[in-house]
Amino acid sequence: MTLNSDHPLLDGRTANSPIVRAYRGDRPETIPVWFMRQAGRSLPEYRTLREGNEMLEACLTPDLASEITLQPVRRHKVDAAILFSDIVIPAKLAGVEVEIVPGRGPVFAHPIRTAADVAKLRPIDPAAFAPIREAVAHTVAQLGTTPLIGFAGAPYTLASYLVEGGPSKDQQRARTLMYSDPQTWATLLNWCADIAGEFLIAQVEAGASAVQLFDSWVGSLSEQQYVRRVAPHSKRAFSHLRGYDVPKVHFGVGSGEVLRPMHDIGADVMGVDWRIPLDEADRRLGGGVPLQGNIDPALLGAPWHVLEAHVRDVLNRGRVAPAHIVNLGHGVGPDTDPDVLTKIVELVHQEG
Amino acid sequence: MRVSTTEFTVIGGGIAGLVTARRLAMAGRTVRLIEASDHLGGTVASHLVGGITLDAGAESFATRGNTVADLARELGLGNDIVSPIHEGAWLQPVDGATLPLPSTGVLGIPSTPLDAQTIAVLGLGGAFRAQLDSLIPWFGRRTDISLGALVRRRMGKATVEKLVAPVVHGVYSLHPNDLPLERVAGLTGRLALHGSLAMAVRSMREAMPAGTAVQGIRGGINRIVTELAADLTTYGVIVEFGRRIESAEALADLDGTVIVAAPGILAPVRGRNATLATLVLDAPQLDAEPRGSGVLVAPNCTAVSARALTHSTAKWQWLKEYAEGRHVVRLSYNDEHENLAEVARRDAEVLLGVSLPPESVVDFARQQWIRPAALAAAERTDGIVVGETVGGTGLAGIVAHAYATVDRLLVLDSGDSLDSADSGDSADAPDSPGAPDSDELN
Repeated sequence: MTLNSDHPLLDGRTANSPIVRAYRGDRPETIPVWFMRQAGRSLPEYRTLREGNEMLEACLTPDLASEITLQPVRRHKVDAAILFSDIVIPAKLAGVEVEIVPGRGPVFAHPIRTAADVAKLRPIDPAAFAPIREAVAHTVAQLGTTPLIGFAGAPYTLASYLVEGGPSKDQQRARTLMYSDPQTWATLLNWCADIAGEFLIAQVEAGASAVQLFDSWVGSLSEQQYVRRVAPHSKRAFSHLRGYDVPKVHFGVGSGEVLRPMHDIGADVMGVDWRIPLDEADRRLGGGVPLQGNIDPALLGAPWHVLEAHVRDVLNRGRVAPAHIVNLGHGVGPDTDPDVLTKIVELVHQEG
Repeated sequence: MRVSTTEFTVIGGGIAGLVTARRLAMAGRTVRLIEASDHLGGTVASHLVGGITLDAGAESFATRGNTVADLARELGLGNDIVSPIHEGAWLQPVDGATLPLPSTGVLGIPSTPLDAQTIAVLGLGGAFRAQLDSLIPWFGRRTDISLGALVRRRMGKATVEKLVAPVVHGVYSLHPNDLPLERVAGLTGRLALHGSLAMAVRSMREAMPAGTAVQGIRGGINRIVTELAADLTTYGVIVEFGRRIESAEALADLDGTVIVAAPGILAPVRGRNATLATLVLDAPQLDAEPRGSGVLVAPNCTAVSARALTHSTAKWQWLKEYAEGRHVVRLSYNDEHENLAEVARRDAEVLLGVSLPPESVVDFARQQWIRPAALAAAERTDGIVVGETVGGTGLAGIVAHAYATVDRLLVLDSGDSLDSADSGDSADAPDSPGAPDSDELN
């Protein structure tokens, strides 16, 4: 599989955008910046739009998802859009019953905990991603030279939700299954890898210029657990994109112990959370890897001079890497003042 | 779903097939594994006896080369590698009482013929005859003889029959007269170097890693299969159950490079029966562990028909705890027995030297295996083969041989002349028959 000739990366729209250049290891004139979870709950225009719409339904309504995706680009002037969606969307499209409970997160009607549960999971029909393709195509048509980033949840994080039945503190049930029934675990993670891979393909084919794999819960794993029980499946998720020449970003929360194996699965760019500075991340990766990150989201609520000093420190430390894309060390919180994000974009563009 | 073409087809889901498929898949190759039965592992299996999950086949592995221990660590079982409680085993001679097996030898060949343990087995005359080995020059002209012939020439008949035969019989199920010298890894080379058999044996002992010659896995060797199977899933190996490949002709229909990891395809299965009798006993008289980890039986012994006995709960600490005071005893047999439960119970009485009345037997299980004989070189010219027929007896040899085979395949595969390179490839495959594992007993 290859990209169509009218894909934004090939028809001249996004290949020279600062963010795609930085993802490919170049240092553009200004340092690019975007924010994880920039679309959605922190924006008043989003809350107005979402009123009366259930979260996952909004993700699957192309016009709505597209508009929500575009809002932060207009408001903050960030260098990329990221599709408004959720990591459980592919599971839902594969027939798994799930809803987003406000204040809690995704909750599954029937947790997947046994070999029999896993055996009932069906491979996804790529046609099920039609609303996603439509949302992406619609968005890309309006973005012009601003790239859209596609994304998917990594197999471990997705599987953790499925096993736990929802968000959990330290993914203990999931990690127990990893040992009590390693083959069922592997089968489940392969299923997750395949639906995530198909989700990525749908977004890339419809016009995404880069992708990011989110392993939000990876911090609950030891390096050994990650390398043996998780990394091969994350690699499988990315390997669905074989042939599509799009930059691949890999991000995890609490990933300090596993940065290198996370990179080794075939990532081009490593997203770094706030726990280790970028120069330390560069050292752990052995240099040579473009880095994305890593403003501590907790500081978004701090006085501007404190936040500004932190952003400058992030920019300085990011200079050791071959390329740097500014982002948060985790997603934008619901109570974040959107003006603070706009100011960060201005600062980064002016300083970088 | 995106379907990719199969680059390698592995026939047989025993240890050799599993290890081969895993290595190839980890190297990024697409692999299909075909298994005739409905489960993986082959002779590395488990069964439930008296409510205890026990190994039904191999129950330990040779520490040689660290091959199996390294595999276990890769599989996440590193913290569960265990050593037997007791060093050494006992011996049931052709006639007379059981004796401790001299602990300093290799395959029963003594390294110090005049030590007290050896004299106890051979008698003073036999021991002095064995000591003559140090005076007989070694010309090294003939290495195509049997181990039995060599030991008889250098150490006398008593050493062959009373010491070497029980050990070789217990491990290979062969008389030393039928065991080619070349199958004892490292012995002829050391003989040439040191000039005497005892010195060669001493040097082999010194070359062995510190610690015990065999190790096990807490919970049983069969856990390796569980983990290997999970890895096959992890790395995307397609496993097809219930499909039997009957002959070499059928190989042509399979995709990619075919690796034969099952006996009976390139040549009819020849081999020996190995029947395993497992007893779970409620017998406090065994708490003293009278024979350590077990007893090897001299081939012509008339007192019992078992080939060897392992007192499993005396050998493995984890099993002792798991059995909660009951005892597990395994006996291996070459012959069929009508009433194996009763035969095994009586043999256990003789070999363990205690009375084990029928009511002390909590449960009994019979497990029958075929141990395939080695393939002749001529029989494997038209295929890539791994497993017991080429890798020798025991997990360490089989795994090491499979690794070597995969390494060669990957080197060949990285070139562009795969088709011409892989046919006839294993005609000159490095054969590593390996030293015995004592899978059944040590």
